[in-house]
Amino acid sequence: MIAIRKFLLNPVQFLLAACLAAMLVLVFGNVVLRYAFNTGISVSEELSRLLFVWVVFLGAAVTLFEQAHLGVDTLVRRLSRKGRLACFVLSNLLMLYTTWLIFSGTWQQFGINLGMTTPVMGISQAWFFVPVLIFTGFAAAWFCLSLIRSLTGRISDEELIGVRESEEDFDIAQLPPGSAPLR
Amino acid sequence: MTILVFITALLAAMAIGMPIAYALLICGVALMVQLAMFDPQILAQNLVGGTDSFTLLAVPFFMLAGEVMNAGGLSKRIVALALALVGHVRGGLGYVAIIAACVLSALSGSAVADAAALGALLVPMMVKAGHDKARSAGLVASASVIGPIIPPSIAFILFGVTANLSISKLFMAGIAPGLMIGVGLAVAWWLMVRKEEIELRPRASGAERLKALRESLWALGLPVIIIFGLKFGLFTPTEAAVVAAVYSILVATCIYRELSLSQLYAVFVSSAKVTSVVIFLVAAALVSAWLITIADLPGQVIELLSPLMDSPKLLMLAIMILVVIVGTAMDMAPTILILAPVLVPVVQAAGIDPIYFGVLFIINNSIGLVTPPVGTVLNVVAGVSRLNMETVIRGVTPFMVAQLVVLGLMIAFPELVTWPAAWLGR
Repeated sequence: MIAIRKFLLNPVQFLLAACLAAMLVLVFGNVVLRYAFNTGISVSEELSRLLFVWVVFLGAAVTLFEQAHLGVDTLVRRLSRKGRLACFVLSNLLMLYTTWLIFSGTWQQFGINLGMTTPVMGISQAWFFVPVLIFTGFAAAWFCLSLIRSLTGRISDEELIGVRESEEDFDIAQLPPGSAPLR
Repeated sequence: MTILVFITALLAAMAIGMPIAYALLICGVALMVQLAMFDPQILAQNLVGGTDSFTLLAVPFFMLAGEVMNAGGLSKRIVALALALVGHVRGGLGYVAIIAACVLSALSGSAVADAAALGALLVPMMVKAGHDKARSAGLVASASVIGPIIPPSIAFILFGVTANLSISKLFMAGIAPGLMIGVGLAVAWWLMVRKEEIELRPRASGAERLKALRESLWALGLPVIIIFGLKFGLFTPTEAAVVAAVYSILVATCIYRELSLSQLYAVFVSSAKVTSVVIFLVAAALVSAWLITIADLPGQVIELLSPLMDSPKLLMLAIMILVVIVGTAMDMAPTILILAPVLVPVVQAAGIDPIYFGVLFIINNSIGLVTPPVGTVLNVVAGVSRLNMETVIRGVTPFMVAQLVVLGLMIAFPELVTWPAAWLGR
């Protein structure tokens, strides 16, 4: 897992931050240019949307590996290890099947959109589907890895709960610097 | 039958611990089978179509603004200003929490960001002054839920996109109800602290107040820019979000100088990851929403609720009770994304203004953030103020009652929401 994080997830995280920064520059630049110079960046909206699709699906892949997706663990937490294991295997199999469906649907859409171009940038519409294909690769790898680890008994009780109750589950160690109590 | 397939697939998938986004996709697959229109391309098209939205671009930028606000010292200065203004009155720290929560709401739109800032800053001070620790944490948690009600609000963006409503109108309609919730909390706090033996803070001098105002002026400029810009059509909600993010980054790095480049990078990564979790959920929900529309699920719900369709207030009450129940078990984003596509057509058919419904729906969801067992804000406040969950739950209960009373008044008298919304939206 450490190797995966170092060689795979860290570069993707850098890409996420870079895409977000680029989106920020594009949209803010457009606002400034509109009011200051009565002009704009023609590709701003289209490129921002494309980058956003990439951020969402690459980020969704990274957060799968971090088990940071939203879910309800109230029931699963009450089960014995065997019960948790059964739920974990079943949910991973169902998600693997769904991921396969997403991949096959996206692959077909990729083919259909390959010859179509975007109105402003003039690039292939298929670029919007590429991050979904990457996501399905990451997701399938993660579900297979999880299944192998669970079936060979190399998974902890806590890891059998693969979701978080909230998107902002809070870690005191990550308190922002501005949060020291006032006196 | 379709309703049964939808509910069973969703609940079963969620019960076995599947992420809600995947549960919604499974739900979509089940609906495709039920409707005899099985095609994986439906999943692909709706997933990409759901994320390829300029409106949704507002989400990462408001999240970014919220994170920068906390890490860059903007929250701290807002609290310091509120302290200088009302810190000296009896129970003043409670009013500080409420005022600061209202102002911070206009900066970030995230209840969790507000709770993290206020919990760490104010709860220790309140306990030191002699306030009951459960009550202090409870007030801070309750005040934080004003975050998603006063604009900018990520919740309103999600609701607007899902229900196909004007986000600017939702934003403007949220201002007065958010302040009313604040007033409700202030009344509840006043009733509680009358008999408490507490150490009063010395009144801040004119010079101290001026200093606090001067230091927080940059932070206070942000809500003014956002609300002014949206009201007068200077920019779209997405552009408002970008302006908020850039403004808060500039203030935190260049003016307050509390945010280093490495911290800024961490904030960007964190915002991108939280965004991807939320928007992937939106995309998955839109798969189900598309199939719900095809299957005419809202029509079936309207038929089920036909006895209530002639009485809008009764229908609103029934829906709000349902949302309270769902809110105890599920976080805000999934609740919005699952219920909005089904409920908005129902309330429209009953002749209820969808903007009014949206505001009440979001207020209700916000209150859900402080209802156990899945009270996100409760977890945050318990974490940052180093208290156990039971203590915070005990303290939050009276304030939650106050919020529900205000919500009840808004159901009974819709004008409390619609009049200010009409005036602000002019």
